[in-house]
Amino acid sequence: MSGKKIKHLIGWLGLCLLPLFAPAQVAIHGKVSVKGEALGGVRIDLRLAADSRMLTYTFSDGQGNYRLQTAQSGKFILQFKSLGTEPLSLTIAPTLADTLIDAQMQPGGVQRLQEVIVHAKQPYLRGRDTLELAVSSFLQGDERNVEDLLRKIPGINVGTDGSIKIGNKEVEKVMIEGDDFFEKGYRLLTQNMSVQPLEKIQVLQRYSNNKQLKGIENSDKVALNLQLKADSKNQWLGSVGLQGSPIGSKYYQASANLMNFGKRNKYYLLASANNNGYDAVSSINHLIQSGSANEPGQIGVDISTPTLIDNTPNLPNFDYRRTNFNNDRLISLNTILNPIAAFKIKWLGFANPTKKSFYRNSVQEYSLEDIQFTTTEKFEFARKINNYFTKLELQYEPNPHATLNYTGTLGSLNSNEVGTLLFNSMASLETTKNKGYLTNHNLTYSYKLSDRKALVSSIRFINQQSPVDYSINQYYYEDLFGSHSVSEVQQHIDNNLRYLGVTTHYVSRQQNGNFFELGISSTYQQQQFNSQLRLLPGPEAEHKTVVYPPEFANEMTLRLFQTNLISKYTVKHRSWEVTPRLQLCLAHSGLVNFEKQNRKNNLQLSPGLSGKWAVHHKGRLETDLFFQQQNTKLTDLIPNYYTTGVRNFVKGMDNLATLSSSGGTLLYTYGTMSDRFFANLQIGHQILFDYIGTESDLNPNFNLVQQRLLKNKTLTYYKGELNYYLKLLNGNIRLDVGFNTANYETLVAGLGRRQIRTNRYDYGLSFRSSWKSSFNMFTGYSLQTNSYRSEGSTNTLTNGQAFLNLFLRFGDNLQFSLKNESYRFGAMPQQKAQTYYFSDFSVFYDLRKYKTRFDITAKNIFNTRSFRNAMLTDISRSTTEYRLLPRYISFGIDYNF
Amino acid sequence: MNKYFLFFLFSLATTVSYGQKLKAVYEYLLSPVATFREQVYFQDGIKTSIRDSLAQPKPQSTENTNDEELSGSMSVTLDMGKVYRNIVIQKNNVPQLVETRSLKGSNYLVSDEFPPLVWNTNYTDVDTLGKHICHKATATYRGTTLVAYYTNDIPVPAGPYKFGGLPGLIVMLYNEGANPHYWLLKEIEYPYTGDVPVNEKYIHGLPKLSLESYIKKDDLETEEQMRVMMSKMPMMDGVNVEHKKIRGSVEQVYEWEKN
Repeated sequence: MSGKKIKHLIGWLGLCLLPLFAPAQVAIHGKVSVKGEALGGVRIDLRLAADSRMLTYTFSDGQGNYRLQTAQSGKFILQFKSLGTEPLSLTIAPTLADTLIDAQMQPGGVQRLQEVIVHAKQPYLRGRDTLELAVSSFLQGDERNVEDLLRKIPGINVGTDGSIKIGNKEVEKVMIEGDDFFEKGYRLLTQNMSVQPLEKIQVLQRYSNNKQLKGIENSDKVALNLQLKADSKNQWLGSVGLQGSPIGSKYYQASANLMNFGKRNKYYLLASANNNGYDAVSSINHLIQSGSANEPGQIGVDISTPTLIDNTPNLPNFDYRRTNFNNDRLISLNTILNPIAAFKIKWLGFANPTKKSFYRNSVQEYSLEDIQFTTTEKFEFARKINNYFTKLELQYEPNPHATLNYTGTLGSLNSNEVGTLLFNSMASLETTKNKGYLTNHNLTYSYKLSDRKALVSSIRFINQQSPVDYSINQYYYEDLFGSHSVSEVQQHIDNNLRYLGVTTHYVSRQQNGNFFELGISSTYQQQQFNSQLRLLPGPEAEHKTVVYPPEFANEMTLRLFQTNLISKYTVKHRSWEVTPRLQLCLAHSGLVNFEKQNRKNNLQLSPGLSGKWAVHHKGRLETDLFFQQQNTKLTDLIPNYYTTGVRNFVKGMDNLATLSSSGGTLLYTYGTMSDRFFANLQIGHQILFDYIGTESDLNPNFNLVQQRLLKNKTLTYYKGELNYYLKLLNGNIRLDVGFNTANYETLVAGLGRRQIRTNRYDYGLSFRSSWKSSFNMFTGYSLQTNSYRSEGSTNTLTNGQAFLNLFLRFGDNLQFSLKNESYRFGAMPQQKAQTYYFSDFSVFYDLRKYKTRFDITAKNIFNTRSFRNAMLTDISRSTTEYRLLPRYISFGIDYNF
Repeated sequence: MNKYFLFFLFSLATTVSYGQKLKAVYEYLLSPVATFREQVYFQDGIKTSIRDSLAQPKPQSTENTNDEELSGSMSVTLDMGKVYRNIVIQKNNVPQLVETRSLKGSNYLVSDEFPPLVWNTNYTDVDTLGKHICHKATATYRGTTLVAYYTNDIPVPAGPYKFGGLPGLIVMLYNEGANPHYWLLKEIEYPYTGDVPVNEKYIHGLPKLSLESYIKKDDLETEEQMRVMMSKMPMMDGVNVEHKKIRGSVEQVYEWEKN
């Protein structure tokens, strides 16, 4: 026999023998009746006699017939059960493939049911705020990262920007095993972590950052928690990305994310470098600044030394990356350790050696009666930054109702800036050195008194030193200090801060939703400001001595001791809520200027009232009214001049004062974003009974600016935003109208007090398509008119801005975007109106199967090399020109592992 | 006379033993803020489920009820037009069920070629809900996984909405996902002597639609609303208009939508 035939035979044989090996199918059928009448709706279930496990079940039909099948054999229990009959149980051992069993039932059993069921465990109530999802039921095998997995879970919505929403709420954070590295910067995790180690995803509803405030704080926050498989330890996951321009200007961006998450220990490592303008530290901002200031029981959150000299270009509404000639490098290491369940250690450290260059040319024009001159500045800055920063967080939970939290940071923030300057056609070299040191320690103790009451106490200590050494090798100040021969002007500033604050807050939420908060705090703040201007003698100087102008030296200490009592009560009703609040502050301030001492003790009162009212089913009104008393800040008090750059010498008012202000706002909202018509109308008015204005002594080579305590400044604004979804165009048309006005005084030496009125009008019109096609667009135009009126003369400037963004999308994998912008700056007396055009193009292609993403980016397609911004102030008109990064095309690749 | 008496007795016996109506009331929790009452009537293999069109007012006195208070009350709610109660009528041995559904303020009678639920009862999980010992069962259903707990004590293959077919009455049911819908059994009455509060004449007089065409119309409506919203969203870098469909119901993917 041939081999083929043998195979054939064996095949047939196997087929014939199959029924012998396969268990026999047993069918049990019959008729159920009661008193001879067919009975339908009877449950018949078949169980194994051995362990009474249910094998199969059925219900008898209207004729009382039933049929069950099983592949099992042996002894069975056949049960008949229905409401209104006695249950019947038969033990059978069917051997026939077709067994007929008819059943006679007896009336009886459950005759009556009348009950109310109380579920002990209610979904969405306490403890049930956590929802657990098994990852395996959602995996389809083509997930590049956690984000791709989340997209597959019903109810979770992931935006193309990586934002994660549950319903309409963005998640607060994405944790791993209850530990959080990233807070709102969770994209670093969800876009870089692969899914293999995941076991479960928890959705935490009504989440509170402070565990002890859960249920007390009025929270509608949501968070996600990723749980890992037990065997997922020591697995390195992450991504690498590389982008570079092979032709023309050489620009690149490279980054690597590495993470290792175990149940106990977690590590996250980030390294990145670029020279394409991107600020690398901004990617870890969320890691550096943790905790939100709005939570009760926090103190000293925004306390720091003031920044005195800053040459960074400030261009609102303009992409900073276009002007930032940089070379950024960043390395950051993060770890979370859980040695025992109740104790957690979190550590972060980063180093950021960076070089930045800016190019800025500005022309400032003064034209105030007799004061008529123009200054020109040509700047080229090269800044070298060396920042080292470390943060340690410890969390200890001695019992479920208490949490002790410690956060300590240590930072060394150094920068060295060299500016090549052509000021009023005279060349000079300007250097600014910052050598900062910062340490900040905070201890918070939270205690949950009951389900609705909690106590949060904090103590914070800050020590910060931000000395600045400034020098300029040209003497522009002959009119100020006399015509000495000066080779260099130097200034050293000591800018120190010490702070100690203690607070205790009691928060309580009543059954009806009313919320009460009472806080008491004590703070001690000591700020030191020493500065000295030195004029170094030049080679032709008669006396080779350093000159120290006495009016340009400070040795001041500001001590502030404050005791605050804060109370707040929210009354809620179905359609409205009102929150009256009161802050009482007992302030002792002391100012020492050289030997001169100045003290002030006062009581400050700051009451306020805010309210919300759902006027009708679509409309909602919100209002806030306040009266406020504040202390003057350090920079308002500096007794003598110090320099903040080549042209400006600034001094405070040397007078401890209390600043009072009062104001109110009213906001009306009609509809929601999903309505065709959606509008926001806002009015606000504010009176500053006392405010800090300036007195300027204007000279072509220098400005002496002195701060003054002035009275009664008023600010008013009106704002409207109207949205209408046009069915014809399938898109939203938005109209923005705004008006701002301010009335105040400013002083100019030689001209006295000048009454200023500023008006700003804003108009905007935009259209955003919402087409079903793969193509979409967003376009708009906005116009801003600024005017300053003083002594009968008015200066007006109108700037405009337009944009047209086009998107094209083929499936989920291929996306194109083209962004076009234009900026138009109005005419100035010595300059014509100018318009600048920018265009950027990018295309992304996702190769999910290989966990890879490719992109091509073209920046600044029109190769616009400079940008001149026009601005108006109450004393001058100015234009500033910035040099821009040239056109380049880069190719990039991102790989996840 | 004797004959009549016997007949009377006989008819009484049958009504006692068979053909009695069961009424079950479920609480349908769509979200933490929306709870609806759903009444289910079961008799002779015919199930009728009626869900109220308005969310239940929150009881004020009981504890915890205010935990989820007001986050919704101050916000302005979506205008969905007039919403009618949802009625589902399901007959034994008939694969097609009918339900009433509202669309743009009108009520329709929608017929659904309901796919049979294949329950997996092979779980050892037991939970006590109320005084009933309940067993777990799962079934895949229209793009989601249903998790049900049923009780053997009440051998009635009924449950809320379109669900049933388990060895006993469903005491709790939810779908797995990030926004699960829960049904909790609150009351049982047997035998229930009242009428099923459904006007069959009215129902069958409603304009008729198949589920497929109803869903397509409804999706268009929702998509329109989503587009209105997306067109007003603040623009972020790289954000595009999303077309992801998320249905606010348990039913996520229908038979005709599978590739």
